[in-house]
Amino acid sequence: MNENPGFISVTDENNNKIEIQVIFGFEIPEYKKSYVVYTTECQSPQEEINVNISEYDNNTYEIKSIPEDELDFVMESYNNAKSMILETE
Amino acid sequence: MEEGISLNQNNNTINSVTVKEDKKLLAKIWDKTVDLGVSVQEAKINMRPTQIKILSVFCPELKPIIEPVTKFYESDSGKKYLEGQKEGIRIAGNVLKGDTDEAKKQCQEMLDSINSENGDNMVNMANDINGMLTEINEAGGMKK
Repeated sequence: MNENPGFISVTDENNNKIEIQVIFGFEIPEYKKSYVVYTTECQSPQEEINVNISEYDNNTYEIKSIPEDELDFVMESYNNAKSMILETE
Repeated sequence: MEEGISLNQNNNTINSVTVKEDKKLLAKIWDKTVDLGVSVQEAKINMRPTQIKILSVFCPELKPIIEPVTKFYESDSGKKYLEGQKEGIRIAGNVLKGDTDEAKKQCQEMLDSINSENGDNMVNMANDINGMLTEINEAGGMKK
Protein backbone atom coordinates (compact mmCIF):
# COMPACT_ATOMS: atom_id res chain seq x y z
CA MET A 1 0.00 0.00 0.00
CA ASN A 2 1.21 3.48 -0.83
CA GLU A 3 2.12 5.46 2.29
CA ASN A 4 1.51 8.87 0.71
CA PRO A 5 -2.20 9.68 0.85
CA GLY A 6 -3.41 11.16 -2.41
CA PHE A 7 -0.67 9.51 -4.40
CA ILE A 8 -1.18 6.48 -6.58
CA SER A 9 1.41 4.42 -8.36
CA VAL A 10 0.49 3.73 -11.95
CA THR A 11 2.24 1.70 -14.59
CA ASP A 12 2.80 3.06 -18.05
CA GLU A 13 2.77 1.02 -21.22
CA ASN A 14 6.49 0.30 -20.83
CA ASN A 15 5.86 -1.10 -17.32
CA ASN A 16 7.50 1.89 -15.64
CA LYS A 17 6.01 2.86 -12.28
CA ILE A 18 4.95 6.49 -12.10
CA GLU A 19 3.71 8.19 -8.93
CA ILE A 20 0.87 10.58 -9.54
CA GLN A 21 -0.85 13.05 -7.23
CA VAL A 22 -4.59 12.83 -7.42
CA ILE A 23 -6.44 16.15 -7.26
CA PHE A 24 -10.05 15.01 -7.48
CA GLY A 25 -12.40 12.69 -9.27
CA PHE A 26 -15.79 12.97 -10.86
CA GLU A 27 -18.36 10.80 -12.60
CA ILE A 28 -20.46 11.34 -15.68
CA PRO A 29 -23.51 9.12 -15.11
CA GLU A 30 -24.54 9.50 -18.76
CA TYR A 31 -21.37 7.69 -19.82
CA LYS A 32 -21.37 5.52 -16.66
CA LYS A 33 -17.71 6.42 -16.30
CA SER A 34 -15.45 7.83 -13.60
CA TYR A 35 -12.65 10.26 -14.25
CA VAL A 36 -9.58 11.16 -12.27
CA VAL A 37 -7.75 14.49 -12.34
CA TYR A 38 -4.10 14.20 -11.41
CA THR A 39 -0.61 15.53 -11.95
CA THR A 40 2.89 14.16 -12.12
CA GLU A 41 4.40 17.64 -11.74
CA CYS A 42 3.54 18.66 -8.17
CA GLN A 43 7.23 19.29 -7.39
CA SER A 44 7.65 21.54 -10.41
CA PRO A 45 8.86 25.11 -9.67
CA GLN A 46 6.60 26.44 -12.46
CA GLU A 47 3.48 28.47 -11.57
CA GLU A 48 1.44 26.51 -14.09
CA ILE A 49 1.70 22.77 -14.32
CA ASN A 50 0.24 20.08 -16.52
CA VAL A 51 -2.84 18.41 -15.14
CA ASN A 52 -4.07 15.16 -16.63
CA ILE A 53 -7.62 13.92 -16.89
CA SER A 54 -8.25 10.26 -17.58
CA GLU A 55 -10.97 7.71 -17.36
CA TYR A 56 -10.61 5.68 -14.20
CA ASP A 57 -11.80 2.17 -13.37
CA ASN A 58 -12.93 2.15 -9.72
CA ASN A 59 -12.42 -1.59 -9.40
CA THR A 60 -9.07 -2.09 -11.07
CA TYR A 61 -7.71 1.48 -10.54
CA GLU A 62 -6.79 1.36 -14.21
CA ILE A 63 -6.37 4.68 -15.97
CA LYS A 64 -7.56 4.86 -19.55
CA SER A 65 -7.57 7.48 -22.26
CA ILE A 66 -10.77 9.36 -23.06
CA PRO A 67 -12.34 8.63 -26.45
CA GLU A 68 -12.03 11.71 -28.64
CA ASP A 69 -15.80 11.95 -29.30
CA GLU A 70 -16.42 12.23 -25.52
CA LEU A 71 -13.62 14.72 -24.93
CA ASP A 72 -15.56 18.00 -25.20
CA PHE A 73 -18.21 16.85 -22.76
CA VAL A 74 -15.62 15.48 -20.34
CA MET A 75 -13.79 18.83 -20.43
CA GLU A 76 -17.02 20.72 -19.83
CA SER A 77 -17.76 18.40 -16.90
CA TYR A 78 -14.23 18.85 -15.56
CA ASN A 79 -14.58 22.64 -15.63
CA ASN A 80 -17.98 22.45 -13.92
CA ALA A 81 -16.67 20.07 -11.26
CA LYS A 82 -13.67 22.34 -10.66
CA SER A 83 -15.92 25.39 -10.21
CA MET A 84 -18.24 23.46 -7.94
CA ILE A 85 -15.38 22.34 -5.67
CA LEU A 86 -13.96 25.87 -5.48
CA GLU A 87 -17.38 27.23 -4.51
CA THR A 88 -17.77 24.66 -1.70
CA GLU A 89 -17.71 26.32 1.73
CA MET B 1 -11.04 20.69 -29.01
CA GLU B 2 -10.36 23.66 -26.70
CA GLU B 3 -7.15 25.61 -27.01
CA GLY B 4 -4.51 24.37 -24.59
CA ILE B 5 -5.92 20.87 -24.36
CA SER B 6 -4.02 18.02 -25.88
CA LEU B 7 -4.85 14.36 -26.06
CA ASN B 8 -1.73 12.57 -24.95
CA GLN B 9 -1.51 9.22 -26.65
CA ASN B 10 2.24 8.85 -26.60
CA ASN B 11 3.15 5.24 -25.81
CA ASN B 12 5.77 6.38 -23.30
CA THR B 13 3.31 8.14 -21.01
CA ILE B 14 -0.10 7.73 -19.44
CA ASN B 15 -2.94 8.27 -21.85
CA SER B 16 -4.80 11.35 -20.78
CA VAL B 17 -6.08 14.77 -21.64
CA THR B 18 -3.60 17.40 -20.47
CA VAL B 19 -4.51 20.93 -19.40
CA LYS B 20 -2.44 23.71 -17.82
CA GLU B 21 -3.55 24.78 -14.34
CA ASP B 22 -2.23 27.25 -11.79
CA LYS B 23 -0.61 25.51 -8.80
CA LYS B 24 -2.32 27.82 -6.29
CA LEU B 25 -5.71 26.94 -7.74
CA LEU B 26 -4.85 23.25 -7.55
CA ALA B 27 -3.82 23.65 -3.91
CA LYS B 28 -7.25 25.17 -3.16
CA ILE B 29 -9.01 22.30 -4.94
CA TRP B 30 -6.80 19.80 -3.13
CA ASP B 31 -7.69 21.23 0.29
CA LYS B 32 -11.39 21.16 -0.46
CA THR B 33 -11.42 17.64 -1.90
CA VAL B 34 -9.45 16.32 1.06
CA ASP B 35 -12.07 17.87 3.35
CA LEU B 36 -14.77 16.11 1.37
CA GLY B 37 -12.81 12.86 1.52
CA VAL B 38 -12.29 13.02 5.28
CA SER B 39 -15.97 13.49 5.95
CA VAL B 40 -16.76 10.75 3.40
CA GLN B 41 -19.30 12.93 1.70
CA GLU B 42 -20.40 12.85 -1.86
CA ALA B 43 -21.40 16.20 -3.27
CA LYS B 44 -23.92 16.10 -6.07
CA ILE B 45 -24.43 18.96 -8.44
CA ASN B 46 -26.97 19.45 -11.14
CA MET B 47 -25.68 20.75 -14.38
CA ARG B 48 -26.95 21.12 -17.89
CA PRO B 49 -27.70 18.62 -19.34
CA THR B 50 -26.61 15.98 -16.86
CA GLN B 51 -25.53 15.46 -13.29
CA ILE B 52 -21.99 15.18 -12.01
CA LYS B 53 -21.23 13.41 -8.81
CA ILE B 54 -18.01 14.55 -7.16
CA LEU B 55 -16.42 11.52 -5.59
CA SER B 56 -14.35 13.67 -3.28
CA VAL B 57 -10.80 12.50 -3.57
CA PHE B 58 -9.89 9.27 -5.26
CA CYS B 59 -7.66 7.85 -2.61
CA PRO B 60 -7.24 4.08 -2.82
CA GLU B 61 -5.69 4.09 0.66
CA LEU B 62 -9.11 5.02 2.07
CA LYS B 63 -11.08 2.47 0.06
CA PRO B 64 -10.38 -0.53 2.37
CA ILE B 65 -11.73 1.51 5.27
CA ILE B 66 -14.61 3.38 3.64
CA GLU B 67 -16.23 0.39 1.94
CA PRO B 68 -16.66 -1.88 5.02
CA VAL B 69 -17.71 1.09 7.19
CA THR B 70 -20.28 2.21 4.61
CA LYS B 71 -21.57 -1.38 4.30
CA PHE B 72 -21.91 -1.63 8.08
CA TYR B 73 -23.80 1.67 8.40
CA GLU B 74 -26.17 0.55 5.64
CA SER B 75 -26.99 -2.69 7.50
CA ASP B 76 -29.79 -2.94 10.11
CA SER B 77 -27.19 -3.21 12.87
CA GLY B 78 -25.31 -0.21 11.52
CA LYS B 79 -28.46 1.92 11.36
CA LYS B 80 -29.26 1.08 15.01
CA TYR B 81 -25.66 1.75 16.02
CA LEU B 82 -25.66 5.10 14.23
CA GLU B 83 -29.01 6.06 15.79
CA GLY B 84 -27.51 5.28 19.21
CA GLN B 85 -24.52 7.49 18.45
CA LYS B 86 -26.79 10.31 17.30
CA GLU B 87 -28.94 10.00 20.42
CA GLY B 88 -25.78 10.20 22.54
CA ILE B 89 -24.86 13.45 20.78
CA ARG B 90 -28.39 14.83 21.35
CA ILE B 91 -28.14 13.96 25.06
CA ALA B 92 -24.72 15.64 25.30
CA GLY B 93 -26.20 18.70 23.54
CA ASN B 94 -28.99 18.95 26.11
CA VAL B 95 -26.51 18.59 28.98
CA LEU B 96 -24.39 21.39 27.50
CA LYS B 97 -27.49 23.55 27.15
CA GLY B 98 -28.25 22.91 30.82
CA ASP B 99 -31.45 20.97 30.05
CA THR B 100 -30.60 18.04 32.30
CA ASP B 101 -34.26 17.01 32.75
CA GLU B 102 -34.57 16.40 28.99
CA ALA B 103 -31.17 14.65 28.98
CA LYS B 104 -32.28 12.36 31.83
CA LYS B 105 -35.49 11.53 29.93
CA GLN B 106 -33.47 10.75 26.78
CA CYS B 107 -31.03 8.57 28.75
CA GLN B 108 -33.93 6.56 30.20
CA GLU B 109 -35.49 6.18 26.74
CA MET B 110 -32.16 5.03 25.33
CA LEU B 111 -31.76 2.52 28.14
CA ASP B 112 -35.32 1.23 27.60
CA SER B 113 -34.56 0.90 23.91
CA ILE B 114 -31.40 -1.11 24.60
CA ASN B 115 -33.26 -3.28 27.13
CA SER B 116 -36.01 -3.98 24.62
CA GLU B 117 -33.49 -5.44 22.17
CA ASN B 118 -33.30 -9.20 22.30
CA GLY B 119 -30.03 -11.01 22.74
CA ASP B 120 -29.89 -12.13 19.12
CA ASN B 121 -30.00 -8.54 17.88
CA MET B 122 -27.10 -7.55 20.13
CA VAL B 123 -25.10 -10.61 19.05
CA ASN B 124 -25.83 -9.76 15.40
CA MET B 125 -24.60 -6.20 15.93
CA ALA B 126 -21.42 -7.42 17.62
CA ASN B 127 -20.84 -9.89 14.77
CA ASP B 128 -21.42 -7.17 12.16
CA ILE B 129 -18.96 -4.82 13.88
CA ASN B 130 -16.45 -7.65 14.11
CA GLY B 131 -16.98 -8.44 10.41
CA MET B 132 -16.43 -4.81 9.46
CA LEU B 133 -13.18 -4.61 11.45
CA THR B 134 -11.95 -7.93 10.02
CA GLU B 135 -12.70 -6.77 6.49
CA ILE B 136 -10.81 -3.50 7.05
CA ASN B 137 -7.88 -5.35 8.57
CA GLU B 138 -7.71 -7.97 5.82
CA ALA B 139 -7.76 -5.25 3.16
CA GLY B 140 -4.78 -3.62 4.87
CA GLY B 141 -6.83 -0.61 5.97
CA MET B 142 -5.38 -0.44 9.47
CA LYS B 143 -1.80 -1.13 8.52
CA LYS B 144 0.70 1.70 8.31
